[in-house]
Amino acid sequence: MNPMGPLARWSVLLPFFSVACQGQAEAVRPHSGSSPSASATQGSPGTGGAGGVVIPTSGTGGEVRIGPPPTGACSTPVDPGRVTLRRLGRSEYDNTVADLLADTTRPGQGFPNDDAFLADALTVGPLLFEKYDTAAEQLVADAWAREVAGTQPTPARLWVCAPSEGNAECARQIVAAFARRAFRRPVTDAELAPFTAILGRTEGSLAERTQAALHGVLLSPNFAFRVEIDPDPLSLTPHGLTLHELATRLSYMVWGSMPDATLFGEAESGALAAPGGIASELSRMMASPKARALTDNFAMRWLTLDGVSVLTRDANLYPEATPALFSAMQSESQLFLNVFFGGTEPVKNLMTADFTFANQLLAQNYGLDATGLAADLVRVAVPAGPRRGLLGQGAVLSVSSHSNKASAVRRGKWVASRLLCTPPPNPPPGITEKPDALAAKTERERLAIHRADPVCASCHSFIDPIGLGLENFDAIGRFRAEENGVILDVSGQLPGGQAFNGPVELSTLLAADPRFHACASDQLATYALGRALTTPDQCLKDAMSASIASGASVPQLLEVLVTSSAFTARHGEAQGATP
Amino acid sequence: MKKSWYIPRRALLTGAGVTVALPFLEQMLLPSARGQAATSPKRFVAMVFPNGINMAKFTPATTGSGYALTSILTPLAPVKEDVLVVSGLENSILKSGGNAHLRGFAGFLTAATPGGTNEPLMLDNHISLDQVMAATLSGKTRLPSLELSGGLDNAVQAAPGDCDGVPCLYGSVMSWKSPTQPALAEENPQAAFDRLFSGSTMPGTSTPGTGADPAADAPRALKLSVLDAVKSDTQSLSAKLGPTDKAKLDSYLTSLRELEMRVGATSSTPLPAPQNCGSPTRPTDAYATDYPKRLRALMDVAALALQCDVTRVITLIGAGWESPAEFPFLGVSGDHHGISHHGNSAENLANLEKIDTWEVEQFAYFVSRLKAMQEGASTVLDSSFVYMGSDVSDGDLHNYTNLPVLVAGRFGGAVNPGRHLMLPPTPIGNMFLSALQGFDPTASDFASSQGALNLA
Repeated sequence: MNPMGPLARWSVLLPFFSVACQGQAEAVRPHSGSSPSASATQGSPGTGGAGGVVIPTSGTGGEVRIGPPPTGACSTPVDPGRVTLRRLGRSEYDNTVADLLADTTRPGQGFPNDDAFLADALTVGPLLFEKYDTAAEQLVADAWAREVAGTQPTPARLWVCAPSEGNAECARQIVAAFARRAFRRPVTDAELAPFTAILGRTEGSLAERTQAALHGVLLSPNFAFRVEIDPDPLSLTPHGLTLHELATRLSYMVWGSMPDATLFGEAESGALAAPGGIASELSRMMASPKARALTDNFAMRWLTLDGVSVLTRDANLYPEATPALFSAMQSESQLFLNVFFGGTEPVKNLMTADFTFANQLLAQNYGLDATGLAADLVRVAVPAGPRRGLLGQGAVLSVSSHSNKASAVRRGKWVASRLLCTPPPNPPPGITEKPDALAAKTERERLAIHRADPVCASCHSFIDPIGLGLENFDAIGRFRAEENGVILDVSGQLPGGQAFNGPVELSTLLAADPRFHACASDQLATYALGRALTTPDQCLKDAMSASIASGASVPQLLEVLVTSSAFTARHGEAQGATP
Repeated sequence: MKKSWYIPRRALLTGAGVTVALPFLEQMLLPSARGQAATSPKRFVAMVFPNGINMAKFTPATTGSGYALTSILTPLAPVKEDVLVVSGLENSILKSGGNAHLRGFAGFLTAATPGGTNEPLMLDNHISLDQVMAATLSGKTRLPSLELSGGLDNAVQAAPGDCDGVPCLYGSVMSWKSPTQPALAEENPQAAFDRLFSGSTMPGTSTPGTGADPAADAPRALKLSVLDAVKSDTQSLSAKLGPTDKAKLDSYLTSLRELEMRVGATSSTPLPAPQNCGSPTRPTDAYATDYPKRLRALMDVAALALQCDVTRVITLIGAGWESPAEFPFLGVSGDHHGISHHGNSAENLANLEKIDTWEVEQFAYFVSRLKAMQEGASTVLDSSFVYMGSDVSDGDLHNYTNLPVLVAGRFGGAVNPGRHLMLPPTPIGNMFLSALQGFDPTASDFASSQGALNLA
């Protein structure tokens, strides 16, 4: 142990949930042997559930907080960081009201586009607020109408009692029960007071006033944001999250939605804080169909594939590039990624997998055997060759092409920024004018002329050699051996110098590249935490990378993440910080 | 169980062929009750079209009046005497750090270098010109400002939140209320129209505060009580948070108050109802997948907003940063951003010329709309300053000098159009200051300005 600073106090109290930073790949199970003080605290006062350790705290209605992980294997105490108040993204809003109110109209689709991992990028303003207001009013009215009609599904019932015009107590209970679910935590009477005050007004019927109060709850920042309260908002001393805050982090990471009744119950009972509590809850959640959100909200956005279905191509050059084809491409990658993000497939096999999903259209586009395929995508085996793995998929190859031609530059940039997290520097403004490269027959020739300019070369010598390795694919991902009558040279080089020849070798190199492992870890952690990783997170990033290198699946990787202090703890903001 | 006032809205908006917002329309059909605006208010519109311009085919050869329209400016023919072509303006954006298009976009209406180009990508821009103007108009119009966008940025190529080392939001927003608070733009013309003209999102339009119809005022009172509860709840929460989180909730509160002001308008503190605009027609489609039609519909809504005096300050993003828009209807193959990296290829430059001409055509359409809107003895255009530009000058060079700039309208006499004004290198902030002085005559600087630019 290397106790120092505030974390040392923690480690004395509560050293159970292992784990972020022990530098071993399968650090996924709770264990009690990593710290001498572990056994000393087991079963001590303040523990909840089956021997788990929780700290009763004041300030948030007596809510319990999760204990910190040990600081053991990392040489310095882990700074869990601070996340800015994180607004629900629009798809999270939609998922949440689907669970909260059984409303599947997806009103968030009319909100401004806000697909961002970083909490700081999820801003608010008048337009969004108005849309929240309009949506909240309508959502409540529709749910109320379903209650009247007796069709509101049980988990989303508003009427926890039978309301009637004179029954003020029932109205209050309805608002209180709803606020508890909408805020994803216990709500005090004082917090409830502004909303229940509406019930006592004179306008309208009690039913109308009750709906107005529910409307207010849905418009509250306690609903619209994932609120995490620091005991002292101006202190940098780390503290564990409350179990409800932790449940909310878990739930939005895996489901892109609010906790369900079981998870809520685990937070209530303290079971979430028991040894293995987080891990067992994670595996339950991963088994739910709602875990698809990991693919949709994380993986598809990380890889910039969520807009592929609306890509278009020059119809003269690519008459085959129909909306149906791009739709199939996006579905292919979605289904493919979902195998990884919901199952046991090793993460690094993303690059080399021997299966994919295809329908007849897609198989024909790829030159795969289309026998027996129809309009629906099904899992198919991919023979050894350039089509294997992510880089053989139409979605990746199309999103990194121009609408009238494939682009080695874009593909190189895509691999460098998405898979290696080393985006090339941007072209400087006012660079010298580029030579006309129209005479060139292949992309390789064009780019060679381009790189002859030393200013261009500084960046393009970095990205072009990656993308040139994918020149065997055209702008809609079809295989081609030649371009304009010239047999394509698909040799290339990764940043750092590893040479390869063609997509198969490129994918093989990437699968084993520690930069890919670190990049996937960085992106996943950024999504889960809502903030960019910083130096103190290196330990977590290393542990996750090592996990990927050793063949971990996404659930195993997530277990490393969710039991880390970065996920289970936080601290306030330095005094004098400027907003 | 009564639930009368919760039901009508969606029914209204989706009812087959039924025009929205009946109470509001009724009100508008009674012009006598409204009276005529005594003097035309000053208006400002900023429009950005991305990826630069083929400047060789844009800049007129001669200066002053009587200049010959270049090929890209050809669509201005019907409104040539209402448009000022300005050459020589430059934006003082630092030339390093992050994606040049995103920085050009972020600085388009701030005339300053955006921060936030370093890890960890915090938003750190500057207040934009329109928002400084809007602040002078608080309470005078229903919306202090209106933000619209044709969409179509390079998001498909962009990582979530992080676009080439710059916050992605820099490329989809023109209007900034503060360094950390972008005013997100509406992309759906029908939603934009409803926001301006529907009774349900403008509850104050139902004959506010007369007391003649208490039943009509009850929903408004309840609505205000909802906002009041949320305000109080937000303040309680804010008290438990640190400075950055507080700032975020402050944005929430500010937005709430804007809505509250509209809902809460009473006879003693009236917000003017839309006026002088007949019965506005709702766009018949959202044109979600038809970019040119969507843009036109947004321009129609913007023109209506000015005519009805619902707002006087509008920003319209023609398309977002590195727009990948395609123009098959112009016979152009490829996407706009790709083509804008023209490498001096004759084919790319010819295609850019077509795209840029189309952009000027859109601007000319909007200008013509304002010109057709009579307001007493003059037109809406006469009182307006309609600025069109791009994030960079040349899409291949990514330079912020000699920017393409068009200004339409007379701005109540402050602009003398019908000319090509050739300036020595001049900060665009100077022009912004001149525009700002139309709203605040005491304004003495804006961002990087070094003095007002005389456009009269």
